Amino acid sequence: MDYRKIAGEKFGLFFNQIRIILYKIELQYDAPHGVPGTAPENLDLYTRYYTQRLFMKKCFMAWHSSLVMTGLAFFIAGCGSVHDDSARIFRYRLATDPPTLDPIHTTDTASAAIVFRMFEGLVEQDPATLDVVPSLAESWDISPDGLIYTFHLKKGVTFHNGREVTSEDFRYSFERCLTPENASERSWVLAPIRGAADMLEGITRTLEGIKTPDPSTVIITLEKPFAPFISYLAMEAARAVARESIEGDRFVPIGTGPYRFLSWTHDIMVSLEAYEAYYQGEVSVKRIDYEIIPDVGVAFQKFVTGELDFVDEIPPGQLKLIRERYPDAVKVWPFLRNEYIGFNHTRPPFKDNLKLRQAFSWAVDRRRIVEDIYEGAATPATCILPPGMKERDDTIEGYGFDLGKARRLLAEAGYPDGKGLPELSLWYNNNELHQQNVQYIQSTFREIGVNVRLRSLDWPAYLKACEAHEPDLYRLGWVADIPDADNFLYILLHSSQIGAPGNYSGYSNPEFDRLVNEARVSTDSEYRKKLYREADRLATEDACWIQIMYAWERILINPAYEGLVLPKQGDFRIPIEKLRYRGTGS
Amino acid sequence: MTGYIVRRLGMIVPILLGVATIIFLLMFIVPGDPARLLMGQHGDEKVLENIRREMGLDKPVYVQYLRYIAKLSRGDLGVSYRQKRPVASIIRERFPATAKLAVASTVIAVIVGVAAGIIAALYRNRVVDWMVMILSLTGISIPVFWLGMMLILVFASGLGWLPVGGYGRSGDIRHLILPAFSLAAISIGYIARMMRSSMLEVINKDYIRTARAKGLSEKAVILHHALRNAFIPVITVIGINFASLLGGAVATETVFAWPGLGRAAVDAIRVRDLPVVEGCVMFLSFIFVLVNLLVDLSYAWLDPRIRLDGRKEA
Repeated sequence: MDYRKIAGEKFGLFFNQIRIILYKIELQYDAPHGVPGTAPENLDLYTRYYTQRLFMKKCFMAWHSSLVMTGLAFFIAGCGSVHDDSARIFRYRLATDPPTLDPIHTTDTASAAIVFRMFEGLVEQDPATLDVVPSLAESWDISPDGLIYTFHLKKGVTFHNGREVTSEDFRYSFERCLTPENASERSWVLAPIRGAADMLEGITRTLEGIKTPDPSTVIITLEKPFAPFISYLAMEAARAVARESIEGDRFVPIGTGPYRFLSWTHDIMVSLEAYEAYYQGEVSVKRIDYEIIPDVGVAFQKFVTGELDFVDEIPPGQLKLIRERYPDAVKVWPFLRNEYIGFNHTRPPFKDNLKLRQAFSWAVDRRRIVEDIYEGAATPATCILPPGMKERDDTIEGYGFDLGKARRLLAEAGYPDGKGLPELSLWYNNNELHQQNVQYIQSTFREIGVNVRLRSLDWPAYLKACEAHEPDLYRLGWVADIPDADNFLYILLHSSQIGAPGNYSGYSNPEFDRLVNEARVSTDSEYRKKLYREADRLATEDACWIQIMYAWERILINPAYEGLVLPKQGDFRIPIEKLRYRGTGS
Repeated sequence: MTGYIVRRLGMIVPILLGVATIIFLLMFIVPGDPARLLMGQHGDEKVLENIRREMGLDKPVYVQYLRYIAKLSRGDLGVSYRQKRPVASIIRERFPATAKLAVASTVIAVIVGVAAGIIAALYRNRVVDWMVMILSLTGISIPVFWLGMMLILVFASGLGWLPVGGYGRSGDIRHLILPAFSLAAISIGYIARMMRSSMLEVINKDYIRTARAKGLSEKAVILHHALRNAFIPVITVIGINFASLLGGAVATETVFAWPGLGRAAVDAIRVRDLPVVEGCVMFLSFIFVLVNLLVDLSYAWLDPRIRLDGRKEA
């Protein structure tokens, strides 16, 4: 008996010791962030978190009212009053470690989210309106034949190392992207420039199509007219990289953007700090920490406890629940993304059987997918181009949900009630939402008498199978690289792009090709719009794919930040430099 | 003894060569082109050709394999396709995090598991024994990621005592506590069960009866005579367990955003980053062989009758 009592007391003492240690550590690590003195009322997440922690601290305080503790208490009280919000760090969640911070290798959103903050190009895409707006170029002229682009650079813009940007820096950056040894995944962005092909093949070492008559003029000559080129110049690969970024084998990012590189601990965090000499003036958020948190559920918990300010996704199936609990923190908005089930046009039964493809298209209840699977955060699709694209034609009605019509078309296609159809395979890449999506589609096809077998693969194997036209039906989506219809219609459906370049369905229609080809070289934006609308209508009537929906972007952001712009190209484009912390009022 | 150690270390070379060959073949059988994957969905043919050439993927498989082995023999693990930096530096960065987690969870597992096993053995077929056995079975059966999430919900989100996840700054043990405990759960279960059965076997031996008969205290009998002998099979479990933890614990590392080797390897498999996969697996094999050797050596230390070099005791 006695022994147990002693053990109990000893354990109690030990536990208290641990608590004291934890408490000390907590103080130590809280000090840099500080405890906000007066938090605004609507800051529910933060206030709750900090109040809870303050309460805990007070409990400990009462418990161990020794001199040391009192001293420490004054210490945190002091921190609270002198703390100012400029020391706040914007903590941004990334699901994976960015593969690169080099603009010429950036192809994924994790890298792009950071690269867009550090580097700028000649022009920029306005995130909200999608217009091409000046960035490092103050203005530009395009020759009437659409071949020569003359850019006039802004004066006094400096790289993060203080050196002024000149036209030579653009020559350097473009040539670097096109040098074959650098193996840039995005060299196709600059491929329309005259001489780019020769450079990529190693025939020449300099780019013929770029001239720099003086430090503030860049003249770019294209091989042939290419209307989307001006938008290409806003992409990562066309941004100005200082030659000082290259240190032997290492790449240390030096650009002109509002934030400059601070540190990168792989798989833990990338930190950027505000560039004090940024030519567009001081920014409010002084530092961004991109924290790598693979699991979205854990990222959400970190957001709730105030350890993150931004989470780039919302756990599937939990949007409504989270929106109810944190209405101010959840943001959903349409962006330039479509989602479809591709047909295999290279072999029967879908090859040259329009009625069959149309029958499948009428059999899908897109509203149900949007409501039940995407919790309302998507728009049912009617055509290829998503809302927000200037070239989109809202009058295209597309395919609704009509099982009667689907059955009738199926019979007309030669397969009454699905009889005579071989067993079809519907492939998808492993992902919870995709799986629910295709399972629903499988069940709806059964309604018209068609059996499809589902097959899932991981992304690398899936991509390979799709390129080789292995599946009869496959699920895919596309997010626009640039807000130009060419990026959807040419890459995904032009017959020259069949296979790896992007046309996995093998769709080929000479009339469609003609319209898109003509639009590519035209410099008249109204005429281009007309051509793309015609092409979109044609491909939709041709049932090139089953259009499913335009999925929306879904994020969580600390509502204490204002000035949020919701970019139509995706959350990774959010201009963090425009955010302001509301707590800075005093 | 020295001869034995040298022989065992010498075996590492053929083992690593075999591992390298198997992984290389596996990565070629599994569909997916690393060069193509770098480009996203729009795989422009000319650009692709260029990337393949720069990575050496345009050469026939046997040339790629021989080149790789040649590089390995010079101690060069190659450069990651995706991150474009040496695999050796990737492993060097990740290993401390993995080691920290492995050591912490093994320490927890050994302390808790051994104690629980001894208690269960001493109170055999009593309530305490049943409780320990049920708890250890639970520990073995609970999926690590679920336990991790629950620990986060209770101790991080709910009580706010510990951070939700992440590596924290160096020297910050608060970030280590939850992942170490959730990773230790399985090992605690195994160690406790192994310790119990091994202890039960030893306790019934004659020399324990002798020890008791000569009037030693129960504490001395258990801790001095029984434990040391009962420990040999447990050491094997601990050693293998520790070695596999050093190779990375993917689920725990993912849930707690812990930057370990396991995550690096799995992420690399996802993008078919062959050099990183090869490097991580070979490193793991190396560690495995090494830890196994240490375990074998510890037998001789625990039980002087065991001679590792095969010679009979004089």
